[in-house]
This record gives sequence, C-alpha cells and structure tokens, in this order.
Amino acid sequence: MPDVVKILPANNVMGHKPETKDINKLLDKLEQLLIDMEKGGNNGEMG
Amino acid sequence: MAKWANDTVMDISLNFLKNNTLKISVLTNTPANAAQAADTSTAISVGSLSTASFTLSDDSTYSGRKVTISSSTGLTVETTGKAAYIALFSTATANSTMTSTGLFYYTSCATQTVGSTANKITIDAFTITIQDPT
Repeated sequence: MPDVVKILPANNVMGHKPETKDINKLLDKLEQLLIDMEKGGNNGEMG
Repeated sequence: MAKWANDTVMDISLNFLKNNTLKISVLTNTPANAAQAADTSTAISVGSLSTASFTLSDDSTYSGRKVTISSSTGLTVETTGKAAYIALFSTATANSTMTSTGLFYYTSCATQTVGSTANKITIDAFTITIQDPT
C-alpha cells in the first residue's frame, strides 16, 4: 500500500477584510508585547 | 444603511467555477495559466473534477454563498516536491455547460512534502465563499 499524502487546501473568503476593530486589537496586543519586551530587557540589564 | 444582494449574484460566479472546472492540481509554485497548472513535469499531482464535485450552499459563518469542492482521493504523484498551492482550471471544453477554459482559481494549502512518486495524494474538501455586501 502506498503512503497517502493528505493535502489540506485553505478555505477562501472572497472580499473578506479584517474589521478595523480587529486590527486595533492586534495593535494593542503588539504595543503591550513591545512594552513587556522592553521591561524584560531592562530587567535583564539590571540583573 | 442596509445593503443586500440576491444570492443569484454570488451564485453566478460560483456556478462559473462549477460548470467550467475540469481539473485540480497540486503545485509547488503559483501557476501563470492553465497550461502551467496542468504541466505534469512540474505539478505534483493533477486530478479531474466534474460539476458533481461542486456544491453551492449558504455560508452562515461569513454570511454569503459558498461552493464546497469535494475531496479528491487516490491521485497519482507526477513530481515530488513541496505542495503549497491548489489550482482549479480547464484546458479543453468537454461538455455543453462549459463556456470557458483557462486558469480559474488558485489557493494555498498547508505546506506538505511529497517525497515519492509511489505515494498517493488526497486533496481534502475546501470552500470558496463570496460574502454578502457589508
């Protein structure tokens, strides 16, 4: 029996764009991540 | 303000795919045309579809109309490589419902290495949705 390779195509939504509120949420998370990283870096230098 | 489109507006596009697509291929790179999508010297696998492979229905997740392309199983591996794209196309007119030939659609797939021509390919079912106006 040959091995079966399963191909998983992406589902598609034509014309779909992320909502602005979703992008804003992402930006907020990114900003928080950068703040956390900066804090972590400072702690590292101090330690 | 309210916006609305009759399902027929979306279905015309989806039925175009249903009535004109005879082939599906698994590719490493995006094809420029149907000939490239069909080229078994570069395509990982090429399968056949018919109108029965396409089912139109409401898409409640995105609010619109969708076509589900049924799975293809037992396809031969033509060329080994990294599967990354799926193409829908036709290279020849085969029946009276067809109005066009050409490359109609391609989408990505979860990247998968196909390492042997002894393998068989299964392409899972997938959907194409056209959303209602928003």
